[in-house]
Amino acid sequence: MLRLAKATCLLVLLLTFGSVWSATGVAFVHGTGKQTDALNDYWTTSMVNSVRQGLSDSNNYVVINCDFEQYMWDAQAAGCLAGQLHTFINQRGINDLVVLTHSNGGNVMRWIMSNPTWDSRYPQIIDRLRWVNALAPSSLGTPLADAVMAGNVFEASLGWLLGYQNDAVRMQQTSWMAHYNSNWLLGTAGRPNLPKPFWNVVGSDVHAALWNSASYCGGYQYQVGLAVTQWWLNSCSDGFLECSSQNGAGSLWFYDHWVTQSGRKLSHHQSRRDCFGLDVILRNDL
Amino acid sequence: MKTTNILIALALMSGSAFASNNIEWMPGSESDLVAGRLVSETAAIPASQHAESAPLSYTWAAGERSATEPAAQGVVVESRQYWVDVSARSLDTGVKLPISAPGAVVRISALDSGTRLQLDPGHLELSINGQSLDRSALEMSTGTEMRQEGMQVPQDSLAFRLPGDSEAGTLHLQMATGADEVPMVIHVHEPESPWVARMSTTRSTFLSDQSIEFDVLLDDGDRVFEVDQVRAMLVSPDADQMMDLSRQTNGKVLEGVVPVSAISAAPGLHEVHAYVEHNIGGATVKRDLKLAIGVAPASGRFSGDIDMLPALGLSLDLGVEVAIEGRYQVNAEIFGTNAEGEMEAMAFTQSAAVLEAGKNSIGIEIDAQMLLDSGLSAPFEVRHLQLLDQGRMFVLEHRDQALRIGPPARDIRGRSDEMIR
Repeated sequence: MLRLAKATCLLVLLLTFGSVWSATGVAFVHGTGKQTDALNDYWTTSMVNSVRQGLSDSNNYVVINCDFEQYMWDAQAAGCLAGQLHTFINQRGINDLVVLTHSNGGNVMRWIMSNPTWDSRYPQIIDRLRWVNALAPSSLGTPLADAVMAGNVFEASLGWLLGYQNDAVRMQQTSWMAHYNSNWLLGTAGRPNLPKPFWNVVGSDVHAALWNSASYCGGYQYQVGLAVTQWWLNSCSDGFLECSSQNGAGSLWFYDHWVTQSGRKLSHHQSRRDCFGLDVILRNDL
Repeated sequence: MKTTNILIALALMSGSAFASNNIEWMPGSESDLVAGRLVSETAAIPASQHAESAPLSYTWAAGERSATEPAAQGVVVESRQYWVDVSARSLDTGVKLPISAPGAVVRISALDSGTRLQLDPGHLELSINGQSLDRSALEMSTGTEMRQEGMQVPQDSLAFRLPGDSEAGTLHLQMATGADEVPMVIHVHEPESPWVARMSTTRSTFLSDQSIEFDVLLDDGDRVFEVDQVRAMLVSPDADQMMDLSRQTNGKVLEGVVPVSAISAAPGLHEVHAYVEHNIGGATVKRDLKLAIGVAPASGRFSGDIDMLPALGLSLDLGVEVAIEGRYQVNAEIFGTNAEGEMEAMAFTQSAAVLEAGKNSIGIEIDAQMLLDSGLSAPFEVRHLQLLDQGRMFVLEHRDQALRIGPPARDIRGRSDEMIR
């Protein structure tokens, strides 16, 4: 209801001051990983092309490519994201920016929104931002990161502490995110609001049965793997993140089955793909 | 614009704006982080990594979701899992693992990357309490499959889940790997177990040379146990420094100190690792706990000086004393009094500037329009006041309730304009 009221207000403003408020743009922000072609490797062109049809000028979009294997505040992570968003809004005159993030991309965006004095580009990005639609954000971290970051400090060399994990995985351990949420990030329970809305889309299950058509959107092989990773998660999860983490900061927009076609649930892989009408929901939100 | 100015002028005349009020520090709370004095060993403090040099400020209205109570600063982690380090050779001969509930998830991994071990499910032999388990009935997953889904286990991994009707007791795990002394780790996760270990502390940030305490307990859903054995260690972000935590005589509290010399230049957090083992009725329960905390040297603090500058809104200069040059950030939430006389969040404000070592100040500001829009009036309070070091990712000071701005009140402890520490 709140979201609808805000959208109505924006529509009224848009109709009233249309010539001033006309440049809406959308940015696609990927999750953990070092991307050089996120359009094809992370989102797929069918997802991006479908969503951007909701823009009055469908060229007002940018697909971010940064190194999100780093800590969120790193110059290659938040610095890179700020650089690409800053260039996008200035080159295309965007003054109404909608940012779509997936997974850890939500944390990097939330870093920018929480620490506007970190970098002189951040305030302008926040000023132009309408809101963030956070697809399965890892706001409270994931037990999977805890599970893989371990050995025994009394019994072995500590290579495992630093060796085969990147900083983004270390950062998404649950107690690490609790620290950053309490001290550096805003929008979680008991903390001040973010300067702009951060709307969560929560994926709540994984279907991985040969006879279930929901298992095939985005690739059956991914669904099988995500069903396995659910072993380390509680009953409401998308195979990578528990629902509580996905809705741990900002505000709930919707749980997958509330609005998707036939009430389908979105796995962590499917929440970045044009599965079960998600692309249309995001398109209609622009 | 003309209307706005009239409103602001009326606000000033009515005495509801800040200018006519006194300002005073509020009493501290147990969860506050405050340095008594600054460190003198500045050589031990890593260089600042900040890139921005311009002073910046940003303020926004609190909105409808703001907390009206201080955020909980306590931290607690819980665990239904443990890890055991083994060698590939010991896997060949077999390893015994205590299991406290059915449906345990077990993962075997090489401890280091690139070992190229062949963890063949066909070579896995399992028994529980001497009864052999049919491995074809187990769900299994390889490292490749788990990595494909973003679970960054080593490539050389194999995971399986025990049946939902399996017994508690001792799992005997044997696996021929063909390797010798390759270090391995076995992770046992028991999602269905009632046995939960918990570790807690009062907050997630500490200063060097301060005592840090952690409570450790084990419960089975009905009873809380003081555990038989606890070993714990504090590890620096780069794993270069490891400090033992001592167990106090009451049995449940671990205690330690991070000296300034152990402050790491590496980004990231310190981790407390605790290993719990408890024997009950001839059975063993093992749990590992891990908790991340921030540890900073006492390299900066609010000096206690405050200047309220002439302005239509709120404009404060907060005295900041720092031991070393860097870029420092101040966060503050401003609360005001609503028509019912209750405190309500009005705005969040943040300022940052590069400061030289010594006494400085950082200003925070709420403009008059935001004050008027909020509908709130005096007394005002500054809560959740923080001093952060951006270039070193240090949390240097945090006060749940910091300043009161309003008519002098007799029920406020402490003296006006004097820092309460």
